[in-house]
Amino acid sequence: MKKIILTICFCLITSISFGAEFLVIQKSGSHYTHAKAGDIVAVRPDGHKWGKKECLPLFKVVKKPDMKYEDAKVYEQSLTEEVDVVVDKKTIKEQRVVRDRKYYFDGETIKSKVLATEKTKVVSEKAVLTDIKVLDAK
Amino acid sequence: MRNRLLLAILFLFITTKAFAVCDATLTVCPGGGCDYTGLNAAVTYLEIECSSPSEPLTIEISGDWTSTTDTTLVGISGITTTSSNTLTIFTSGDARHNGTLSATRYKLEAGGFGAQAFTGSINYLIVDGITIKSSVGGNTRGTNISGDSCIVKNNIFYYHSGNLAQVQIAGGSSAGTSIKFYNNIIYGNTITNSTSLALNNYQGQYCDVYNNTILFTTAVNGMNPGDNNTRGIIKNNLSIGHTTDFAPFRSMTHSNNASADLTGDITGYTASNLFVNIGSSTEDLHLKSGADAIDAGADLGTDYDTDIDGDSRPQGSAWDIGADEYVSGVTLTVIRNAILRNAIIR
Repeated sequence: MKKIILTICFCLITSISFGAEFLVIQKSGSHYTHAKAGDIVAVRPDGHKWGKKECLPLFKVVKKPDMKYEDAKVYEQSLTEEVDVVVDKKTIKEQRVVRDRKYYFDGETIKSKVLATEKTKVVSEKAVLTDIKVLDAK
Repeated sequence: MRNRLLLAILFLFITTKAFAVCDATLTVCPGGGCDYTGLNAAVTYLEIECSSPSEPLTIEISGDWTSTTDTTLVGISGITTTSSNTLTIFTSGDARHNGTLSATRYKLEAGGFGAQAFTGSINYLIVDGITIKSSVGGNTRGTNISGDSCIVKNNIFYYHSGNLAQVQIAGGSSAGTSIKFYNNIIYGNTITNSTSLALNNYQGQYCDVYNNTILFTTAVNGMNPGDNNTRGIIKNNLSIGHTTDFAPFRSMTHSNNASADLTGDITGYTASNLFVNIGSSTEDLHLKSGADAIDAGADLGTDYDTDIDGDSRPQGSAWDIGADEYVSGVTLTVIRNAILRNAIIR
């Protein structure tokens, strides 16, 4: 009986996803809005079954078991800036996409940062990703 | 001499293969069986590896999306497409909606503050059969497609919480390169001061807007054709339930656009008399039997003669207004019964 309960507990624990996985691009695009090497392209729950091409040579999957998926979703955002646009003789504020992705893994140190905005303003994020596991090509 | 020629051919073959890194046909589905599990990763691949394509690019979204939603916002830019080398994003099979929301079909539900769910900033982009929900905040649009000769058809845009338009199309630098926006359904814009469909051609761009259904939002404007520089054609659209269903058409050519208020070419329609279901979260915006929009549209020719479900136009004496062409259920039942009867006889 104990064995059954233990087995059920084990199955429950192993089936619940606590962490997040990051799809990270390994090569920079040519256009200024394109993702650059290290940018986070997508975030999925721990244990996500990635596609056949979501792997090296173009992508790496970075696993972060100690970060909740819900918290990690913020790292999918684009880099935007607010600009004034005149529409029908009225000036309105508009968020414009400056670059596909706002967050990236910074090379060797593998830290998550906010990208430098246009006037070299850099804002550090609290989340420092340590103990990263990298899932190579399937 | 012969050896040299062979070597040259071999060299050319190898170098061509070595540099042919662009895979022009990509697939997206859940579960790891396709190239990608999300649309944006496929787009990112094309941006980096196929930015100057020498053949048409396609992203096909397929599979059963039960319990799976694509939640990563999509941005497309910096791909030099041409009239023969377009980029087409489309759904197929089980992934394609049937004109209503479905728990098993593909949905892009992306959001976040200051982020558009779907941004297309290239020419010759074709978006066909996608369902897009934008849970955005700030001074942001839900979907924004700008560029020459883009085609946006058979899509469902539902729910929007950004301060600007739920869907904006802007582009088409001449009449010959206008954006074509047709057979789309737009509903669920929750922001009072915004617009459901903005034809934001304030820089003098062109767009052709046909057979779309825009319903029941709290937005001020159903469809807003920008300012006096706007060019193009607006026909057979259904815009119902806004403070202003159609902002002034201004210099655009227009006909057979129907509204609930007095702003359409045809006025006085009501949602309850048009659609199968207008209940919140259970919307089915197919036309119901006897709807005023049936047979009330203009004939737009063979380029546009199928509706959002793939049903041919017209089914009756004339085209219907809106994204759906009403198909009589009676006719289908008779056909099915006839087939069944034959089967029994055999």
